[in-house]
Amino acid sequence: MRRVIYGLLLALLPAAARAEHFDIKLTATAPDGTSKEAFADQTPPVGGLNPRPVLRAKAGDTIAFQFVMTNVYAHASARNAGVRFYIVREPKLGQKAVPPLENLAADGSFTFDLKPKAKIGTKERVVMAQPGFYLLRVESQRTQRDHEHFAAIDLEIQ
Amino acid sequence: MSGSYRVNALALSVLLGPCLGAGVNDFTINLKVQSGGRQQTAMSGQAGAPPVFIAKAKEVVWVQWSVANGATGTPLSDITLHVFMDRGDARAAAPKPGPKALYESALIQDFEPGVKSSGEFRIPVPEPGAYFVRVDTIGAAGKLGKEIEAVMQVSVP
Repeated sequence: MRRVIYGLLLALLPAAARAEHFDIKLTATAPDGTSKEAFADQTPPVGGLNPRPVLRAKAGDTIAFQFVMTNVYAHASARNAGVRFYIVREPKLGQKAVPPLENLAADGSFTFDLKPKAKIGTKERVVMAQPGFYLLRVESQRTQRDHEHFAAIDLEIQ
Repeated sequence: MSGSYRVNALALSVLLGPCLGAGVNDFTINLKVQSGGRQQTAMSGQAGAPPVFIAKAKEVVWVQWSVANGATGTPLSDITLHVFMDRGDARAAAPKPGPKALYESALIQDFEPGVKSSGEFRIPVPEPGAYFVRVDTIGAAGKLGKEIEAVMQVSVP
């Protein structure tokens, strides 16, 4: 069992050097095997710096997504820090502002004492019942820094 | 077995018993599943069959868990909190998530005395069937003598 979990967490380690503080690798996969990846961005500015990849699928498809976040900043500890992830409908692809977090297709969060090299990993399968544009996003919270990190992918459900 | 050996073994077990089991009662997992105004809870160390939550197909269930090491608990480091929701019977011994598990997460954390952590997720139950939610530790047995777990059956008629 331990091996399985570490597989989830360690399989994505090569991305660990790409970000300054929080490293994130977010992956979303459609039933036909098409997959998109996103890595750590930061806010501010609103919406971050990087353009978001777009995963296209059909209504009724099951989208599998997973992320691994690693605190790669050796001196960062924060009590009561958090990680949140969600899928929310958005008016258009690539919009910078995060839409109001209402009627979420999926969401979850963690609250914990963040320590250096802390890891958080999640994978989930969600049936996207309705067509439209969606934002899949995972973000750090309450890390006691002047910015937070996130990774995001747009979903176009046809 | 000689009488003196039996006495020695008993003395050893008395000495080791509290060490291996120390902190088990201080380290607790609470699990709650709710939907549509209904809720069910499960706790680590709970005797008997896992509690059952009845949900409806397509209904969004809200799963919350919290993990705490008591103020007098044994310090634990690099504990993996493993949470998953999958199809199947919650009574299975140490079930593992399959490749199509609805949800799985892992959080690696130290648990000094008094430290807590929590998490939650909301997910629609796709179809009728038997599901379960399980929260367990990986890496606690070395100091607590066993891994800690809380599990709940989610039944969708």
